[in-house]
Amino acid sequence: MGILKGFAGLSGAIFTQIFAATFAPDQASVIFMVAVFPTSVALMVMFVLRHVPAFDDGLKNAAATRSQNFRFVYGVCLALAAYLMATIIIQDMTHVSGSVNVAFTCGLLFLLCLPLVIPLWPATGFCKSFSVSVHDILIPEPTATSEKDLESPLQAPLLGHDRMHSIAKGQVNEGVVVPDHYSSINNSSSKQIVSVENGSHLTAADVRKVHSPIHKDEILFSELEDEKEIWPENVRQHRMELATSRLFRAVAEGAVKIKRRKGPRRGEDFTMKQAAVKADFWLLFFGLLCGAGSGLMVIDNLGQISQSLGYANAHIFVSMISIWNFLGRLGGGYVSEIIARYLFIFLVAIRFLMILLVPICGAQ
Amino acid sequence: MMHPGPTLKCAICSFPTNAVYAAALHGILGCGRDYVMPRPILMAVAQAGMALGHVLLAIGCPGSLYIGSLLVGFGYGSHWSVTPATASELFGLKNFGILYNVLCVSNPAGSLIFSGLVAGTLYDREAQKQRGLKTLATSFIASDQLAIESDEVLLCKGAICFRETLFIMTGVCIIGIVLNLVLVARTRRVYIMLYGKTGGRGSKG
Repeated sequence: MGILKGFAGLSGAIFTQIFAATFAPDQASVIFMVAVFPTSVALMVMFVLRHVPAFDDGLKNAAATRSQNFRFVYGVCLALAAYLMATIIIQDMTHVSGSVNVAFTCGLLFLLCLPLVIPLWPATGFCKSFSVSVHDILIPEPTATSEKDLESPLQAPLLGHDRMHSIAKGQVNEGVVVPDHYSSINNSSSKQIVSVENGSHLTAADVRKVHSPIHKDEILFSELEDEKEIWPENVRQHRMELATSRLFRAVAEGAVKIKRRKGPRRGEDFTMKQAAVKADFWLLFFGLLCGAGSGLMVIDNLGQISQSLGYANAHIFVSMISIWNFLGRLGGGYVSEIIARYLFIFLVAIRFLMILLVPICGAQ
Repeated sequence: MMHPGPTLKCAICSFPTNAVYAAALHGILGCGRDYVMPRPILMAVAQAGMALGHVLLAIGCPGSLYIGSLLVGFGYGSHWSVTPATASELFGLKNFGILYNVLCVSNPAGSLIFSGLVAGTLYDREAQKQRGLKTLATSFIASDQLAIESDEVLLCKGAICFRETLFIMTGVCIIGIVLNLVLVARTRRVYIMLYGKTGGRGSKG
């Protein structure tokens, strides 16, 4: 995700460089280039893009090569950013001639083509397992990369289902009669609050899944899932079993009252309508508006800001902020992956940042 | 419902010694059981950096433009990799296209408000003021200077042109930080379920 977004930010600097090398004085041709290039690339790639299946030589191996490939692409991106940065600085310091500019652009295009090595690698026969699906990393096609990257973490909460499976089966074996009432619950809604006869309230999150063809006896008591932070493992397990048995008994005796709760819980699939009434969505929206809006204001007006501060060459700052933007996109994706999983490393990063900021603050 | 208090404190503290804070998180705040934080915390951090960058740009001392543009560019960039991931984690992938693109509407909207209305108006006012002073000064010397001046494009010199705007932007960023921290407090549970020590695959003790 970071790489994908990063290239969107970096493309401005790349186009500027190509323009400088090829048709420098002609203003009209740059508009033509910007209009035609992306469309033609998309049209060409349309027929080539596909999902390359991984080799069957073990899941672990495939994952390893995948991360290896990913790191390679990451490295190339960073190299590209550094290269563009150096180019901008050199162009700024000295007046470069046309031929040097062409040389710079050749280097740039070489770096751009470097990730193509990954899909071409197995053709040379060095390493079989290199042909893991990299097409979708390589080609900035949002549907391919984003879904791939984001799908896997979402499968995580389903991990605990195996145990529930067995528990539910055990209950059925004890002789509790379930079917008729139960299927009516399943059909009614995805979320229900089920209040059991003895007064304890349970939220059965995925009751509908119980009778789905794939996971037959699966139940997730999401409220219990939430409280697992509080309870130790064995207590939680015990309560889970207790709750399951109570629920089945209650259902069997027809004593369950159902309160429907509209809409999916967080982390499940929302439609636009369902998301539009959620506070989370608007918090995200206005948070983005505040951050991105103010950032965009600076980026848009940076030329004038630097002019008003008395810098003669405003274009360096524009190019530079484009590169910072790229690095921010790249780093943002990377760091957010880390902090979503390891808060501890995040603390270390914050400390590092503070150490970095101290000299800057002191200089002011 | 959950209590936003501990998480907020959790996000704000975290500077001195790791060991001390790890212990503090564990014991006092109770958020050390799973070392996971919601993604929007990064947006809050980025906006804090951007607020600092805005202040630096507003002060306008030599060199601050470099650091300020770095901070703002970095912060702005990291928004765009955090938002889609967050949106997909909270609202699922089934209707990701429309959800994400509705979120993206905030970008041109913010540009329209902050760049078009706020910055443009304030800049023009300041430039008008400067020209007024200039013409006032020149009108004593030569009257035909006045006609030439009024044909020129409105230009503003000095850090003053964008100072007010940038301070407003700092305030906006701080509002953004607050919004994101509220979001963090609200969604922490989801993230613990997704990546927590007991629930997910990313485990760290």
